[in-house]
Amino acid sequence: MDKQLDLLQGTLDMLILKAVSLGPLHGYGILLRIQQISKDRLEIQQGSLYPALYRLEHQGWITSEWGESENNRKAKYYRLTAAGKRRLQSEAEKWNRMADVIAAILGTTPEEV
Amino acid sequence: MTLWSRFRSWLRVILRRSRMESEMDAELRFHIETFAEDLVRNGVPQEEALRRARLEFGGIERAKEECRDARGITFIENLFQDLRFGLRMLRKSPGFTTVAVLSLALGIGANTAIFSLINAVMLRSLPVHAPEQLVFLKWSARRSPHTHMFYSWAGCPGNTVFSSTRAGSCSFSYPAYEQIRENQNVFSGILAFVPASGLSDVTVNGQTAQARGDLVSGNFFSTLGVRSTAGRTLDPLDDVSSAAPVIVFSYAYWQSRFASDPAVVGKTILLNGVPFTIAGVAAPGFAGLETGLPRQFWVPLSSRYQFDQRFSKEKETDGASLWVQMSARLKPSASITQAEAGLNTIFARSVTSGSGALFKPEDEPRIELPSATRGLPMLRQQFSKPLFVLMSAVCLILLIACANVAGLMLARAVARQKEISVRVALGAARRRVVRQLLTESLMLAAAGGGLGILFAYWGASSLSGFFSANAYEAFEINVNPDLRILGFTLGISCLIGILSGLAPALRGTRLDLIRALKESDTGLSCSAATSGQRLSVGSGLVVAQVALSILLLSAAGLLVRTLVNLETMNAGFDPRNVLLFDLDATVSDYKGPKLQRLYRDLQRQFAAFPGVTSASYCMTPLLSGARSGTDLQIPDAADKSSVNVDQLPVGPDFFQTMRIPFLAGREFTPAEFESSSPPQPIVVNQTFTRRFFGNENPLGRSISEPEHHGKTPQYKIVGIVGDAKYDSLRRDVAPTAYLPIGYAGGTFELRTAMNPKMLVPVVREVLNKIDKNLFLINPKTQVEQIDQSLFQERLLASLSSLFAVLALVLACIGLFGLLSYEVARRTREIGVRMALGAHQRDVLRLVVMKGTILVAVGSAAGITAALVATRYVGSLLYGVKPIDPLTFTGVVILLFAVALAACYTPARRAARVDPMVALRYE
Repeated sequence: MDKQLDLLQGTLDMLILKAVSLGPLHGYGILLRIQQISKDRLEIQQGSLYPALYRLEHQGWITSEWGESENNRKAKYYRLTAAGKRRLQSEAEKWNRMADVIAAILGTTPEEV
Repeated sequence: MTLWSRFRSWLRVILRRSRMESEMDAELRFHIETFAEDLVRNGVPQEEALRRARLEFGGIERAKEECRDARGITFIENLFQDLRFGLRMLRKSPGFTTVAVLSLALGIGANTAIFSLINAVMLRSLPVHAPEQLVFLKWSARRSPHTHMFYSWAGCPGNTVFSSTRAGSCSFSYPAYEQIRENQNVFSGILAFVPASGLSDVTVNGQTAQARGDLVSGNFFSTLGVRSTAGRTLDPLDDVSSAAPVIVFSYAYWQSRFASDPAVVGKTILLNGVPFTIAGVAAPGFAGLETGLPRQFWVPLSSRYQFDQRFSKEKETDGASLWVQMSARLKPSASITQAEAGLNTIFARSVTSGSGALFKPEDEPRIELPSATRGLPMLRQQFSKPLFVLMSAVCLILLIACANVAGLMLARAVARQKEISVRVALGAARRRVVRQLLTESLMLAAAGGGLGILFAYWGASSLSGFFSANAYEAFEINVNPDLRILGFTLGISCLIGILSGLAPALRGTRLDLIRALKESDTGLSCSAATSGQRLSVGSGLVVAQVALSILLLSAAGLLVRTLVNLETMNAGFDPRNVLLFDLDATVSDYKGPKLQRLYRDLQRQFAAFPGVTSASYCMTPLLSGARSGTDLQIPDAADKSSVNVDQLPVGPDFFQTMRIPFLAGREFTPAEFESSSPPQPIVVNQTFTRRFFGNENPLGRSISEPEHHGKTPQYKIVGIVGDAKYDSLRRDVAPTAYLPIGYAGGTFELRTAMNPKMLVPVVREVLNKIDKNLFLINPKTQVEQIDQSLFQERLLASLSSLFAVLALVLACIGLFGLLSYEVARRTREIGVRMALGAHQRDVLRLVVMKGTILVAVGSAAGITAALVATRYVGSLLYGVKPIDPLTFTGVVILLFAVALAACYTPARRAARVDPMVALRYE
């Protein structure tokens, strides 16, 4: 397995929003989905997941309600809100732009300077 | 929208906190269990799976705490948590809580009390509209003018000045007032006010009582912006000579004399026997322009001829009679310098032109405009220095109390180390624990502040009462708490809470976690490395307390010695058993020569009384603070310089009554009281003799005032008496000339063989029989008069002693606490020492040595500080210098004695330690 990449807080938020945008999930499920989407190249520290979820809920990007899980247990499911969807879009755009800029800087050859 | 959702989650959390907690708990548990199930599905055994799941997750409590933080309401939640927890902890140690709260209450209370006085005397503005716009008018010039009449009242800002290079006063002539009033354009209103002479008689329904009032211009109330409560206030129509005399009373007087009866408006009362109609009552809280000396009535200036004997028509229009005081409201657009410049031209023109002009242009007469926002500053001028001294003293006490509480909290923080280390191990941030400890100390400070306000109110009221009863005039100081005082108390409570709690909180949370958790409580306290530091802070606090106490004790010692010096000083006369009183004849028929004869008759009658050894009267009683003087010079002497001497007009038998020793010559004969033709006989004191005549015999010699140009000299010396104090004890005896009193008036002195006050009803009866409109007023004994003159010294001596004792007690409590804690901390060590062969007295010595060293270091620091600081009270001292070895030594000895007593109990406890018990002690 590749070495686990360190994640910034802002990036974690974005990933959670993305994971949730694909369908309502409980906390553990979000963890699994992120791992799944990243094809196991990314592993989230479990302890930092829930504080991030609570923060996102406090800010209004996601909303929660209690439901029943696959194994018939009570679990708290998180869902993306309309504001959250817009937030995800704008964050993704910012990320992509940032990536372009950094790629351009890193790709300069000595002659271009 | 996010704001709304934030608010919603905030609200949700506050209202349903426990449910939130259980939900969060359920959620996290679900996560771990599901993870464990996944692991089980992958082949990990059951318990192993659960353990690994928990391990992977990390600290649950920390995650929970971060979740709570993420919700964003933590601050208030934490605050309530801290408050509840703090309350519980404080309740668990009632001894500590009581001592801490009491120390803080005393410190904060003393500060608030003195601050209330300062607020009332120096900071409060007049209760009028826009007081910051008000100014007084004051003139100044290069030389003092020759006046026909000059009434000057104490309290003119900057004091009335009459020296050879500068003169200034707040009294103007009536023409100057009119000119300024008509020609100025910098004021939106200008008013005149003249205090009525002394106290006036107000007769209502046949009952007479005395009241203090002012004569004012018609626009007085409207310029100041003071409304009426009943009826109306004065208006300019009342201030013309043809108007019927009206009077306005103050709200307080209306309440006390008329029981707030609204029907008094329109009724007639007698002012010094002259009928006045009541126009109305002023708004509550307003009592004139002089802070501390409230007025009870106001009458128009135009009514002065009717009831105030000082005024006659000629004096009014005279440009050389100064008696009108003025105040004005600046226009919002005008600045003080502009106004002064504008008025200078008008004033200069008015006083340098015309016949009998007061000044020449080269005298540079000009106008100054001191601020009137806080009223006339007499009270401020008199008491600002003592009040500042007292404020410094109470600040020191507050610092001592603060150090005391900090020391106590430090010891407590060390004792709670186990608890704190467990909390930190469970994931509490250090900042959080410090915040919790600070909350505790703030709660102590809040409790101390609340209790302190009660102490302060009680203390300030007693002080204010002391002021009223004992100073020259019946000052009234309103010490009711207002916003400024409450704000002050709140401010210093918070400051003290943080100051005394911060250092212990920071130190208490700086720990080596593993060590703290492993070791036992005593082991912790015993460990030399960490606790050595902590104790030096505690010792430092005790040293600071001792030093501050020494400072206070030294100052108090100096002030007490000053008072003792003044009280035991030989005043040159015998003040015991002398009754003083004044005669109020304003309402009666006795005036002029008839009144003079009355005084002489009364003196003879009183002298013949059984119980009265001798009787006399004089212009002002001795040691009343008032004196008069004049310049005298020897006529036809080569040296034409004149000397300023004190002069006191006295009645028959004065020297015998006051027991001023007669050294040579004779008393005045009865005939000499009747005539005033030169040369008048005078009796002089020894200082006078030495000053004018050296060693020669002055009897029979003549002396005159410098401007006297008659053929016969003005005065002839007929007697010499010993030196006696005149107006104040502090002032050195000056050359004094006593003359036969030539006008009607003065204070009676009766020397008795018994308690002087017992004569008062007898004298009243005598006066009543002669004329029922003769009143005895201001009865007091000479001793009381002296006490009044020493009011400031007595105030300072008693208060500073009180504060010094308080400081001493606090410092000793601090020392006692520290040593007890030391002994408790080192019980095991003491046990070991004793087991190894130390005697009881060795242990005793250990403790006492520690205490002695602390006190010695503190004393050294305190004496050093005192050497520097006591010179600030130098101007208040008498007969003792600011650096007085006797006082300082005495103070240090006192402190050592008391400190040794404080060491005693902990030392005894240490000596009684049973080695066997101590060694097993955990």
